[in-house]
Amino acid sequence: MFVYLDETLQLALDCVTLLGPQRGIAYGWAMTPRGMGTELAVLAGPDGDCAIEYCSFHVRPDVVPSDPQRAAVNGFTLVFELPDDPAELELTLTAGDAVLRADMRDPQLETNLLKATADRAWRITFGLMREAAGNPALAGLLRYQGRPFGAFAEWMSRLPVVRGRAEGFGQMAEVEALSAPSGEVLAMLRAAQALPAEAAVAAAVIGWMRGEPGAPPEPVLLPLADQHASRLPAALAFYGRLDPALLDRLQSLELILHAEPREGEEIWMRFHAASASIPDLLDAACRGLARNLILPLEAAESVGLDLLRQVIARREAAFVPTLSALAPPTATEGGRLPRLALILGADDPAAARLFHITAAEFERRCDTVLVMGAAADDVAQVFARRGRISVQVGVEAVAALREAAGRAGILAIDAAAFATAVAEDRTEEVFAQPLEAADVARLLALHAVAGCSPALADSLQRLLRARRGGAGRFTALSRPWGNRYAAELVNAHLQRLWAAGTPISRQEPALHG
Amino acid sequence: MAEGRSVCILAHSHPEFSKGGGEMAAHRQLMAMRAAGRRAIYVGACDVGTAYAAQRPIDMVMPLAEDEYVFSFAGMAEDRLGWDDPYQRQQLVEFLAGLEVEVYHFHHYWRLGVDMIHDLMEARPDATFVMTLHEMLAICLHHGQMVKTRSRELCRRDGPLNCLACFPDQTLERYAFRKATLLTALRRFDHIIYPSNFLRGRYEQWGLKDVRASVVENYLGDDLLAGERKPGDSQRLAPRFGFFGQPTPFKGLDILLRALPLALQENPAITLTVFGADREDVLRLFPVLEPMVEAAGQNLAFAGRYDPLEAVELMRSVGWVVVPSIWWENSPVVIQEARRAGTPLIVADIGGMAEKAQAGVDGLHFKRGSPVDLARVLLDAADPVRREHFGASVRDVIGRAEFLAALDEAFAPRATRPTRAAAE
Repeated sequence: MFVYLDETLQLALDCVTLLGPQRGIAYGWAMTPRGMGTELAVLAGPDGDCAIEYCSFHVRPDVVPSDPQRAAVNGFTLVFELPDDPAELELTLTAGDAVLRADMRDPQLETNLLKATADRAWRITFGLMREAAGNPALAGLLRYQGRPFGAFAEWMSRLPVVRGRAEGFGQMAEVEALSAPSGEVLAMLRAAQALPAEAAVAAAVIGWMRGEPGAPPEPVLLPLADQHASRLPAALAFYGRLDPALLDRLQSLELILHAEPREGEEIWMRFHAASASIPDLLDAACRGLARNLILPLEAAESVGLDLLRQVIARREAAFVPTLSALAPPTATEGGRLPRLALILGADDPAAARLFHITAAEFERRCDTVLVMGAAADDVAQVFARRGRISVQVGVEAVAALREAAGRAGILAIDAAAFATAVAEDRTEEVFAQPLEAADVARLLALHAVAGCSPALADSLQRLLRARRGGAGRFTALSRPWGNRYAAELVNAHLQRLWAAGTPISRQEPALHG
Repeated sequence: MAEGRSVCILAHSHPEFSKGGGEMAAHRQLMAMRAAGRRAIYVGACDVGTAYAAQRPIDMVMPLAEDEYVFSFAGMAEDRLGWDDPYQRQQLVEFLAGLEVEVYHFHHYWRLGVDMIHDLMEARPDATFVMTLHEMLAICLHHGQMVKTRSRELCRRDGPLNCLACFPDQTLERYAFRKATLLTALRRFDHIIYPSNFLRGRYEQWGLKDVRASVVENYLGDDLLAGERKPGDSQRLAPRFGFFGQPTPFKGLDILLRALPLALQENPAITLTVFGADREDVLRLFPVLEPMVEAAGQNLAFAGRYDPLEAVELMRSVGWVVVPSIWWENSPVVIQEARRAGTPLIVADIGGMAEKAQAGVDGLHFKRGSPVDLARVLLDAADPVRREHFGASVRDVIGRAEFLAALDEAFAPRATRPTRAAAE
């Protein structure tokens, strides 16, 4: 619908429809004389004015006034209250004495909100979606018609999808998105050539959140506790971190990413972020350049490290206080030991023999043994065959660990350390040092923000090693680094996190790279 | 003392199928005990049965003679220290536990399995468990030799990184699991018997402490003990040297063959006879030694394979038995046989050789791995006066009564051990 007064005052409605029982939404644009005050209102006839709950304006480069010096065009999005079954419904545009009226019930009007949302300029839709995450008036957009992504569903389906990583994506040599168990997400767009200074990137994060047991996860646009977008000489990076409170229900992450590598050029993608360990994510941050860069850039690796340093600083600002608050208890309180044992690091079938001849030690002390590791089945069979206590492996073991840890603590036994203790005739010591519930809470936090491997067992082994040998000990990561200078920074950073709140961290100042 | 306790002797083989030192010692113990009126049963692992089991069904435990059995170890893991097949392990445990014996005397854990030993201990908590440790397989992955794989240097101590240097494809974790498993199993024995102080020292250094233990020399057998010792004619025998055994890389025959031409330069009367190998066997293993073998001419002879029962008699045909091994040797039978023969010894100055052939009493020592030093000792030894001296002083081996008394000590039950009835 289009209402024309003259070459400087015009009003158009692209879509009007119900957003809820008593809430409407309208997309359109208004051309108004420059320098004159204007006002939009929604009138419901005898029912009076409809309160406007949300109104935003945006540029409409597709609508050009005959004389741009005299008139300006703004697109708009309106969300407004509606009375029950209004007899009339008008959108008015007031400019000085002139008033334009558009019948919002005109049968010619587009009422398909999904189509209208998808047909708008994508940057407008993207901006609206990001606003919807934090604005209650717009919440209905994301729940529209009860479908995933609500009013944005059709637009989302039109976005190019990238699962984890892709090469040769438009002008980008390589694009990838990673998400870590800490709720961090990193997207890297690596160009094949240098990017101009004005190149920019923005992203919105969608989390697939678990609901009630048995119900499918729902996509929710999530607010970010921290975010940082940056341009490197030949890459664009977006780093974001979710509020930890969201993580328990989070199943997976998507990113909607909008990049403008050059003026007038746009890249859109819907990223399914690949799960990554913290070292993977940090390494990706400093691997700022594509391998097949057409022209080599001077000091390229140092530039990549700058981003890594910024990410590290943001991480430590966020995580060190939390970890310090979860500092390990100074001493166990003694008393009854937990009846749940966790054998981790059972990676070698040779471990099974040791547990075969020491099984009675566990049977005497425990009701259940959880086994984790590549050779977990071999070890579990030892206990299963004897049939005196229950034994669990795999996801069952992880679930049992999480379930029991908060209640009673666990006897966590690193298989290799157990072997050493047995050889040194110190078996009793191993069983006398359970992980209290507080230790387990710290473990889970450390695994999320400083875990060096996707396996919880690795973090548990590190925690046990730290308990045995002092928290200052951190076993450096051995991995192929994308940036040869990353190892020092990442290891030092992870060591600081692992030592947060311990006596070591209080003695030694942080060594920021 | 536990005189007369019934014993099941377990070994990694049976002399019917192989004649290694461990199984020979185990079987000679069986014969000695029976000769003394003791009840003893022999159960040994069996290569033949194992190979057959891979092709066709066969009983796991097979009788071989009266109170002698062999078993297939086809269900064992590749390293033969444990069982992959728990059903077969259980079959063996049930057979052994069902034997009416009071003592289980193991002569190895290899081909028997530490897991099987553990299960048998659980099945028979009333019994006494004794282990004779003939070698160092538990300590060293390199066939228990404690010789470094790359340099052939002697190894003096195990350790995670030491062992990783020899076996870089292993992991520290696997090393830890292996050591803990073997050590735990061995610590549960009521008594450990070592054939030499050298072995005892190595196992104690490794961590096998706080277990009742004793050093008891292997018994050479009633047949060999029955013969009369003869010192021999030193004037004639002094320059005659003999090597007995397989020409493996660690037995040091190459050292001896390098020393021989050096000694011959000063004393052309010296002769060396190699018992246990032909000339071709030796040159196949040590082709670079061909010039030395050629140069030695008539002074070097190869006598080929011999029957171990003839070893003592053959040793009396030479003036000296040379044991030039470049590895430690734990308690070499060849030294015992030489002492039984009354033939003095020339041995490398390390490990079980230095202990069992005492310098100045049983013979002479030379620097391990040194042909020059061995040549010096050969020249010294070729002196009839010296041969006469050592022919008179070389000690005889342990006798049956002393051996059985030492076993009785080892077989004594623990005061706190439950009776079988109580255990059941």
